[in-house]
Amino acid sequence: MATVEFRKVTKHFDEVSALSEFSLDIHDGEFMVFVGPSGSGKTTALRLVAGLEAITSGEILIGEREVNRVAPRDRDIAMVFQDYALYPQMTVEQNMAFGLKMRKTPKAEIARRVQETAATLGIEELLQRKPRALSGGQRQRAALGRAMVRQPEVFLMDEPLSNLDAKLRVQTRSEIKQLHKQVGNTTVYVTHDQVEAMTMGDRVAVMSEGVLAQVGDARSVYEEPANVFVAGFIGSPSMAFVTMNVTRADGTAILSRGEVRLETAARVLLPDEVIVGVRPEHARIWHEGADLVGPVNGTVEYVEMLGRETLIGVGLPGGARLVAQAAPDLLIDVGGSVAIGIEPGRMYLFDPATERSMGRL
Amino acid sequence: MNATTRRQAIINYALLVFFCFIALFPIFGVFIASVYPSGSQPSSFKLPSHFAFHNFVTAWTQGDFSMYFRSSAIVAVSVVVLATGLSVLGGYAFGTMRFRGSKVLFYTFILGLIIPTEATIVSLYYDIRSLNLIDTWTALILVEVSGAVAFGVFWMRAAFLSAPRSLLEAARIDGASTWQIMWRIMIPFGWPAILTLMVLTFADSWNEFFLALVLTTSNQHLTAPAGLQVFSGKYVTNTPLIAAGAVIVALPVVMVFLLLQRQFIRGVLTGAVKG
Repeated sequence: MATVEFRKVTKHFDEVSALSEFSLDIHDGEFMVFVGPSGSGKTTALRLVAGLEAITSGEILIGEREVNRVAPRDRDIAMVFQDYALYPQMTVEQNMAFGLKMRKTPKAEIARRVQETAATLGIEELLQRKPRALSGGQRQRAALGRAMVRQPEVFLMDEPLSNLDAKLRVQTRSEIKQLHKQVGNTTVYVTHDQVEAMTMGDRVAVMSEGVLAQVGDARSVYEEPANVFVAGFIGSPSMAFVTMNVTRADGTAILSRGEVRLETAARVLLPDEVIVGVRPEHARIWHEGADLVGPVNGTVEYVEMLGRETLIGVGLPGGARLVAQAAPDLLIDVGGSVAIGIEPGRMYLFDPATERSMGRL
Repeated sequence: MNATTRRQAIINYALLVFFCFIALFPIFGVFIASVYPSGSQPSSFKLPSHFAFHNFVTAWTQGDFSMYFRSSAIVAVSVVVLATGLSVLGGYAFGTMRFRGSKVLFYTFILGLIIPTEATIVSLYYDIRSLNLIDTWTALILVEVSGAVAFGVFWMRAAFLSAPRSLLEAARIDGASTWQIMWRIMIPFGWPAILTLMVLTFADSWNEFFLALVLTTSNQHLTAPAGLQVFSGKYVTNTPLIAAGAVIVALPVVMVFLLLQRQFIRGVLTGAVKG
């Protein structure tokens, strides 16, 4: 096992910057997830650890060793690719044994490790099959097996679940997590799926445009987003944002935008204008006596019945939008008016200039 | 099947039959002519009164085809082995590696596809003569390999480019060297394309006429198509015998294609499907 350390790593592809001054410590045995939209640099960061791309500047350390100029085969890493990259002409057994053979591991040892890994993954009966005779899920396991059998210092996984159907994806992600607990290797996992990131990662590194936007455990990234990007990217449905004016009076802050007016205790120092972010689960239908900040009146734009809850898209005067969560049995018409209240302390505030978090109200 | 689809199918089949006929009629004509009695005047539209299969034996012995076949086999097999080997190496480099000047170098190879042999034959003759290689198999092999490699590199580059890049990367991480990646991953992956290239190169080399005619002076080094020319010069009025010689010369290529047709088609389709 080993730590992985990025020290001000920058990667340019010709004129395009894919990663910029990226610094991050991944702990020994940690399951670290890189998450972000397309083009955020997460896969580039992973490929730099693998040695599949050359670093423009900065340093990457695996354990104590700087690996900038170390060939992929000498980094003691194993990688699971998005398309699995199983060698098509080889059986699953040969695929798993290939890396060990290249490292001149004795035959008996190869056979023992392949059998052992296949048993762990429950793929013994697939060992003699070629990749084209496997389903997507089986290929995914074979690819995991090929990585695991090498017993590397670091596992790298590049969106390994993205080609699986939704049900299998949910099942496999818990299996991977379980395997990680058993094996305990340092794992770097790349995904664009924030649910995957939140459920699998010991810590989550949220990336945007080649920059590390925030790193932390799932709860802290969700509860205390560092900026507008993280707040909008993490959480489904996304946080809704409204830019509002601030008026301060006697320990109270009044947030207003057109006819919308919210009055709350001023617990943080605010500028004249803020971006207010509200998650759907913190916005609810207003009723007298509820412990909510509001009301905010708007028009129902859409209603989504999700079974366990109902989401209501609310258009506010002046063009802003909120999403509110309601009970599943709520009957409400699209186009009708609705009053929304927000849980106290659950309005996320961001500086309009820097988009950085300013706390919550 | 609705009326439009049906009409479309009929047109498709009619076109296919028409082009099949255009392609096969001359072959059929030569074969029919070859089994007419020796010395008679054959007609492509009429079967002979009896089939004179003995013409093949006569042509084989009188035309010294065993000698020409030996020459052709030596040249064609050498060309296939050398050209395929070099093409796989070149295609692997151009298809999987990024290196300075690769584009310029690749287009230089492509030039070999564009420039016809006829344009270079005179200077080629003097070059070969200055190397004291006139009337040798080596001359034929070297010149044919150089021509075949132009297409071969182009072909194998496309085949290797169609391999997912992740395959190469997985092998690199698994610890394979560049050489091992080629042998153990890319050659098995590109095997259908390699077989297709071998069939095409063999057919091309076996059918080579012009170079053999220019670069050889003795019958001993003549290849089968050029030997057929010598044979047809001797029997200028005996069409069935000349046709029998032509069938004999064409037979190896047909047999190679028939034996490897499945792999040949798979190889042609590899690039088409994977883009």
